[in-house]
Amino acid sequence: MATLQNGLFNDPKVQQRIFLGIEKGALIKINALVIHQTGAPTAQHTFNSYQKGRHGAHFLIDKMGKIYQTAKLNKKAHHVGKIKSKCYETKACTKVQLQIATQILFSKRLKYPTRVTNLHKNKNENENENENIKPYPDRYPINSDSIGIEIVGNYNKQIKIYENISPLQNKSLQWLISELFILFTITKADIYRHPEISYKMPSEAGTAIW
Amino acid sequence: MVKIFLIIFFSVSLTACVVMNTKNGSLRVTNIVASGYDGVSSEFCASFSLTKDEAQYYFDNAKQVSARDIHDNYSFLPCYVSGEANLNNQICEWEVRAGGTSHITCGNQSMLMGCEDCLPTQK
Repeated sequence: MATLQNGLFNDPKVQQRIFLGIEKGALIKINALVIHQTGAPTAQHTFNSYQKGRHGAHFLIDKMGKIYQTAKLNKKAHHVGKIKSKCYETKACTKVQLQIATQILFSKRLKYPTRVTNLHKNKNENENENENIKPYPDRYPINSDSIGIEIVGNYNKQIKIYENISPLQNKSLQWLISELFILFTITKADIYRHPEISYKMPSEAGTAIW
Repeated sequence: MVKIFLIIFFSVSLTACVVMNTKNGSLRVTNIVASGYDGVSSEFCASFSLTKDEAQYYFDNAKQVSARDIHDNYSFLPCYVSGEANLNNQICEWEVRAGGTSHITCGNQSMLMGCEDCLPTQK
């Protein structure tokens, strides 16, 4: 069974390759896991990107199913981006919530990227309805309460789809998730594919199985 | 033999670069084909449209990006406008999305582009 020490996930199946540049402050509470695909053909492409120190996730599963820990689990990583309105997407908004979400999403005088930013941030009058300050699980997970797991997989520009996640990669993903279930108070309901919570290409992590 | 291979290799590579270079006005938008949306986003996407000139402005100013760039830096929105363009005497198909991302296919080559500020405010 894996152990956790100072944010490091200790298990012989996981190789630690921490990129300090993608660690962005303290991660106090972990509510959820977000599954990504890298959009690049090899793990090295993603390591090169992590070296620049902007966006990144906590784990990377390579083409052969090898798992790397790339950020400590007590540190935030920027892997989610701007979140969607959970109540709007799941059709569970109260009347007030729906009014606010539609007011932002359908505000015709604003460019669409601005609408998405306003939805995520605090650009509405009722601050209690700002998406990123709602308590989890009333909102989707954000960088400050989730672990990101990246799976190496290229994006095929011709057919506009991410490549299939292999059985080896899915096996590693399932093992990693089972260990994280033991270490943190999370369940299957707290695992999300990236495009489910954020405006991303729909096929990203679409073939991940857990 | 090696020299001949290298000459052919670099010629093919150079041709590929030239074909997909959309800068300097080399890509000319010829027409708008359709607008639409993925999934059930009809209301959200209702106000997304582009004229031919607006599409041309977008392609004149957007930059080529990778799938990783789009993942990290852009919102990939369900609303799109698609059309055709001419690039180096080749007919290409394009699709611009409301988040400022786009996709161009010319024959068997495709590329992704991005620019959040290159799209007009919707009416």
